[in-house]
Amino acid sequence: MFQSKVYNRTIALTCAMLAILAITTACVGKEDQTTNSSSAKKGSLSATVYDRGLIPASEGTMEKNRWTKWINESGPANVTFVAVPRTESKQKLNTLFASGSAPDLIFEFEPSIKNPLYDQKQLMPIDDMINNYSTVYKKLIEENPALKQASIKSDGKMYEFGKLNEAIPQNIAVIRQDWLEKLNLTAPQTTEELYQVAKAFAENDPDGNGKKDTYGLNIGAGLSDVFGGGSLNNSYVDVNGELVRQWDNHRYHTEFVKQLFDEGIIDKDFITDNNGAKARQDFLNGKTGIYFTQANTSLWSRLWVADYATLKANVPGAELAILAYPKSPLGQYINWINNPVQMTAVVNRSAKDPKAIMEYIDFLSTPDTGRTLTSGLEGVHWNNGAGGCPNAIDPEKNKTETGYLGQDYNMVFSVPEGGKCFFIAGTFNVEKPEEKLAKDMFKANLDIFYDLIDQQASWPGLTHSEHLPSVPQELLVDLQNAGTEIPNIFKSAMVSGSSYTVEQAMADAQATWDKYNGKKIDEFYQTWYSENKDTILMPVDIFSIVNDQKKLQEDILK
Amino acid sequence: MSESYGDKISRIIISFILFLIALSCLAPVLNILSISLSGKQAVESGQVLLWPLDITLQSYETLFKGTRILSALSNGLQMTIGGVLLSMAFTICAAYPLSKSYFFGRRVFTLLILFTMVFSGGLIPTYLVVKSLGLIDTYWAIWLPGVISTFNMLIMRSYFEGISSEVEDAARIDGCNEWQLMSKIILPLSMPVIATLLLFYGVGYWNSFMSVLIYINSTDKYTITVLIQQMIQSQSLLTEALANDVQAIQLVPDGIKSAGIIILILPMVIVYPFLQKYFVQGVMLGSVKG
Repeated sequence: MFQSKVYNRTIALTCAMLAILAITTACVGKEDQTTNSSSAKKGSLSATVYDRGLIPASEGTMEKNRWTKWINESGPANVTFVAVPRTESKQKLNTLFASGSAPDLIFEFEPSIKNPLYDQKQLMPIDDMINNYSTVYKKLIEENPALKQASIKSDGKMYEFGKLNEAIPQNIAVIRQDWLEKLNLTAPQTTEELYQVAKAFAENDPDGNGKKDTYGLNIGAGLSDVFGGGSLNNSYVDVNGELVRQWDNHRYHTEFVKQLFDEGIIDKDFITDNNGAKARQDFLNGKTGIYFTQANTSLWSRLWVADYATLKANVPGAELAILAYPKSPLGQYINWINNPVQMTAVVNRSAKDPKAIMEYIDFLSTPDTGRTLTSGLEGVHWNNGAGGCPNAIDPEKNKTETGYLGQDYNMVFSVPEGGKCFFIAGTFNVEKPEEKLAKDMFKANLDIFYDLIDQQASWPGLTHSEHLPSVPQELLVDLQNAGTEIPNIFKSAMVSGSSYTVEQAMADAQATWDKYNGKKIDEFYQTWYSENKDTILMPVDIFSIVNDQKKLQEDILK
Repeated sequence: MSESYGDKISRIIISFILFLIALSCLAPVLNILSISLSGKQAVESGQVLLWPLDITLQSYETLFKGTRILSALSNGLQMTIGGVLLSMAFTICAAYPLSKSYFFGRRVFTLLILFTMVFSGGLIPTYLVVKSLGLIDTYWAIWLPGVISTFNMLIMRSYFEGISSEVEDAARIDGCNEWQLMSKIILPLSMPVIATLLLFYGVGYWNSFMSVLIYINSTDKYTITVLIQQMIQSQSLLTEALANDVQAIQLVPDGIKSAGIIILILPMVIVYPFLQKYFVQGVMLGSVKG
């Protein structure tokens, strides 16, 4: 009896909760539709914004916060934002497009997401809207034809908005100067010397603790570039207009790593350390002699301010110096460079108001907008500092109010247009000793970099991989399979000692390439290259952009 | 019953080995917990293993102040509780008639339902259906397409079938109709299976990631699973060959990720002991058919 009462109550309660849920969710659904009524003369559009899960709750959401409000108040159009989770943007965008509910303006870095949208005819060409409605962006592409060329697809029309970036090395190598001095060595200039120095670092107890617990180097970002690049679909060299597939870069890299592995110079577990976390820990604990790492933009400060301090806390005598990439058997290669001409936005074919889209892009391309959507408002978040560049008024407050901005609302803003304060070198506060050091190191790095360019160092690959087209759908799976299996073949050779030789691995890799229609992929790239040779952004163009920015960089760093 | 000396020794050895194995399952959780409680420098240098160093709540503070974790947590709880209630109600209502041999068309219905275990509509068609029903951006889009898990329904049906028919007959003689029979007799007798399915559905909804990502557009409705997944995955952006997202590589430090993971697993860790005694009985259901 008692039990049945309890059960009646439970069932009643369950029903009540279900009813409440039904009502609340129905209400939430209705709320959204009532917001789009203000300001009739402005155009409207919907645009994506990355959501990284890093916005404080007190600020609202990525779709609705002080900056989206600012954009709608100061900008030329009413913008409705649609958040796209940063790490799942492919899934999310594909679903939105497949169901016909994608926003008008899509901001996305990844070419492998945008190119298929073009192939599926989901995108709107932007030539007309630029000609009819644009001022700022139109001027930008007139002054920088590379920006226009990079956005032209195979039908000859422009499909992407983009921006110019600071052209600086993306990856660098640093070396323990104190170890070099202790062991009486000089910085390696060839890959053979790199091996010798690494061997000495691993075997001659540079940290003086009497144990063989140090590594010569880490297998990190950029090491394969030292040997001419590691990307399969970028391993071509132009010989009189013919693209010739390269294998020797892979061979020398594999041989090098294999030798280090066999002799115990590197971490035996490097293969399982797929995000470099272990290598970074070893480096921070003072166990690594030469550290290959990504070091552009915010990672530069992480390396020279945060990580250097941690290293010195762990090993008080540690001194770091930048190591110019050593010369490989195939010649001298340059560090991978940030894509200086980067495509970042496409327009949905079914967008209703191209004028609003274009005016919004113009608004975002203006330096003032770029400044606000990077550092916040003048007088509120920053004041002009001694060097004429913004200085944060209250860093703690900015952490909350501008910390989530990153670059996510103005992905089309061209850094060089904004002048020196937008360059990394202009952001260091030299009154703080650690930032002064970061700035000095930045200068040292650029000096090495300019020197390598002057020496005619080659680009590790055909060109920047973001400027390569995506292979057609029917070859895509083949390229993906080859791109997984072939590196695995090289890796097995690296760690298998004498049971799997590099010669055997090279033969297997080439056979695998053939198996996955490698010939057809080569032909595809050859056709594309022959047809577009004059407009593709090639390494010479990248180097000339570097040179264009050189004077300003040197001015800032003086 | 007396144990010989040798039995005792072997029992101790076996217990010790099992204890070690159990401990090895605990180690990763302890590691995450320690990282979430340790100072930044100790974490970055990789010195934290099973015990926190320079204990601080900094990571939790940053997590609560700097992200939407509280609202995501409450979203996750709402979605899970709502989903579990709906799923349980529908599963019971489907399993009960199918467990009765006198139910008309029992075989046909069972086969039709079984069919869905083998074939599904695929992502895009399902999305289009959900969209045309106007459910996008509501939790109904997550609840309704999978409101009954066929597997769970079959477990419950088997349990109902196992309840002896004499009990039913007695209830009928006392004047119960079908609804009363189900709610007053069968369900109280089925607590083990109900607890088991509560847990299955609960964990399922709590962990659901892809469906939230696909169907929910407003980030203020994102659940904690999506938020934490974003933080954990952010590392992978760095290792992508192109690393093209140059400016905004906002790395989430390990300490904060770990704090997020601890918050994420907390509700399930709290709920589990209360359901465990039923769960142990329930999960064996249908394994031996009498």
